[in-house]
Amino acid sequence: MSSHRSNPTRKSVYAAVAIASVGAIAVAVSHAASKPKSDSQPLIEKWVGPGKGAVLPAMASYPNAAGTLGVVNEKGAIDTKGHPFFEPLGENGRACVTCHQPSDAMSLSLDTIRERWEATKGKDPLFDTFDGANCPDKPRGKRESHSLLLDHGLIRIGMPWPPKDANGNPIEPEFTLEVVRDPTGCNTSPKYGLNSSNPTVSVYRRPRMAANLRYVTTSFSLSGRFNGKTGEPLAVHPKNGQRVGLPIMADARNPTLEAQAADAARNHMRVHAKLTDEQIDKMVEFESQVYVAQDWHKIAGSLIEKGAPPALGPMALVRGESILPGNNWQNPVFMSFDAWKEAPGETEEQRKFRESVARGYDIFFLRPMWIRDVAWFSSIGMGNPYKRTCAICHSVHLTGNNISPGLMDLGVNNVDLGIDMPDLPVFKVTCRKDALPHPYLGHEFLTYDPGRALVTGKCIDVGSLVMQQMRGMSARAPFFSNGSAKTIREVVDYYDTRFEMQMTEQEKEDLTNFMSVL
Amino acid sequence: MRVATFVLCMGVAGVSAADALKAPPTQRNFVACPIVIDAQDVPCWVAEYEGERYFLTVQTGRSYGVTFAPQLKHKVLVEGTVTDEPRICGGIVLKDVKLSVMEYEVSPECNTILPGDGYKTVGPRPIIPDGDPPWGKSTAVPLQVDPSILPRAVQAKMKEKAAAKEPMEFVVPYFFDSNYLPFPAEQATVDQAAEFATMTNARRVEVVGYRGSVVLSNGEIMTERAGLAEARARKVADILMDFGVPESALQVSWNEQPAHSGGVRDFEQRRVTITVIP
Repeated sequence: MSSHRSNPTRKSVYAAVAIASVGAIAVAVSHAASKPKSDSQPLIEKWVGPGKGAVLPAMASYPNAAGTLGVVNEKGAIDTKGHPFFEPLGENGRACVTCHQPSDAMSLSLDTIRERWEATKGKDPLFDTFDGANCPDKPRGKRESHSLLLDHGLIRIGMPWPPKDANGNPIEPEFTLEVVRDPTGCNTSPKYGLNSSNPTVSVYRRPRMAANLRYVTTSFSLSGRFNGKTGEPLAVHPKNGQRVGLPIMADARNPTLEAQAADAARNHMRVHAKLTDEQIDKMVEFESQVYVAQDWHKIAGSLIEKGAPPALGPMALVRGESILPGNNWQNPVFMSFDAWKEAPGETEEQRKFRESVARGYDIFFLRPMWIRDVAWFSSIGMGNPYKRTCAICHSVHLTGNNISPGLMDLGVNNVDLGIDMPDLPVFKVTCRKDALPHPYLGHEFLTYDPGRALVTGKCIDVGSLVMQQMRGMSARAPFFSNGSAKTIREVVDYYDTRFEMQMTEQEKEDLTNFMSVL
Repeated sequence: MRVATFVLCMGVAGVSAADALKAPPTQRNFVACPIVIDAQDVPCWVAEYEGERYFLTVQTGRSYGVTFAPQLKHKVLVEGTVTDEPRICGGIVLKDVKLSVMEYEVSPECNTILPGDGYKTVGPRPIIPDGDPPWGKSTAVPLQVDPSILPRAVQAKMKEKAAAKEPMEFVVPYFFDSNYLPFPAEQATVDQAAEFATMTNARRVEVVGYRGSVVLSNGEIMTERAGLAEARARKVADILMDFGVPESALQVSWNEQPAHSGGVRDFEQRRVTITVIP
């Protein structure tokens, strides 16, 4: 591939600032372009603890196993003191930042979770038993109580059953749920389970990235006021009256960042009072201006030096346009990696790695496969199967998510199609005979997580989740909503098997290397 | 919202023998497993009926004027008229073909992908990203779309009707046994009806739901499930209200008596009509 169009339409005070290439480092390196008006000390710790009052630099690089992750605060250095995103507002001592760490691409990696466990002997607010244990009734501080968090990076999400609509009224579900395996004991718990006085379905999901959100929350508006997939009206943003898609959260249960913040405060930070509008606005303002991407790789070297592929590094995201479909030659999803085909590097090792990355992008962008049995993709007129490339779904320019909206059932939640997860509960789904079944699994099947159906009550939605962006992957393993892919390579292996891509070992390595530098 | 029902039936979709009624010999209305062929440059879809292969569509994507592709793991209802056009992917070409995925039943036996076998088909989208690649021209071909269905033409008609304060009817077609409003055309029709109602401050918006049946080529009649006419009408009315049409202006009714057109263009019977009266 050779053609791409850069869109430097967004101006930033940091646009001219290049992040220096760095070697292996133990702490974040601040690249602050301007000092904040505060007496707080610049942040150099990797872990950003709630209520510490440090300063988050305008630009910083944080180490990970593959190199470093670049983090840019578009509006300049952030004084976290008193900032609601960083302050513990609820009873458990957590803040938003507890699960959305800058070093982890504003998600939370399994490595970081384990580091906190070791550093605090399980006393970190992250390990609040309400959702940081397998079930709230587990004794705090015992490793087995927190095994899903410590082994898979999973937070418990307790969803009401039957589902409730936006006004809190119960929805009559089209299916029944039977707990057929319950290794955590939570779904059969007399106090917290499906048959308790407050019937709850506990599913376990990874914290999502709270960065590059301009690319996530912007709607293509291809279908006007409709959700182009479901044929139902899109929700209306209560503040600006605009229609909003379903891009936020795994099950899209909250349509706006504001609603998500309020939900997270209630259900993860255990804030009992209602957040003020000012607090919510500051949370949303912060997460809407932070950009992350890998900026250095231990073999590829600098990802942001002059002549590097133009989509790499966080500044590409700061500058980029956020409403561009990328499954085309005008605005290719990740622009062009030709630079690494033509002048790939200084050492043999670097040259080979960069060439591998460039080949990996070609696989992503150009290698057709039979995409099949994906509800809300194959079932909406595309056809099942549909022969195209990764970029048909991972299509948003520069981030590779999907906002059309991006809800679909890839299969990771399905017991037959997903990666085996013996530590997770398994539910038997039985759909009413008069309900539209799951398009490929039918009226009766097993799932680890009913996904969107826990919000809508619809059989056709069982297993569907909102797909995620592809940036900062080296900083935030494990992957998929249930953490079932421990590494980027396991993600590649999953797709290779799922869609019978029959990639060679070299192709798998190339695709893995490509994803590792995003 | 005023609600009136015409006919109420109970039950589910079903098949019965036609009473001395058969689709014309040039018509092919049948249910079969779809088959995908890995043709060059885009895959094509075919189905077999009574020992003959019929071409259904190529892989398309979603746009105005495209035929929605079938799905493996589901049978497909094919409704079309035989032509003498050159075969495509070895199949007889059907005119005005309508394809409805049988969504209520999963059919694992419908799972055939055949090799290309030398067939070459072109479609509106390539199998690699859209547009011309650096090494040459895209294999995609432009769609031949009836310009009267495109939003610009409908908008112009809406302006004319609004200026004259004349009623305007919008017809929403459906797949067999389905209450799904696909992107883009069917969604756009409901959107346009709502827009016309609000721009004319409509006195009345009449929504009427219908369900249909199909005279199959084997003489059987296949009928949509009961209650679908009501479900279609109510869903469209709910969307119109969500889009700003006052509930007080809506008059919603449905006709559960399944209708067909003798095996030719039966698909036109499964519909919702929205009549906006300024």
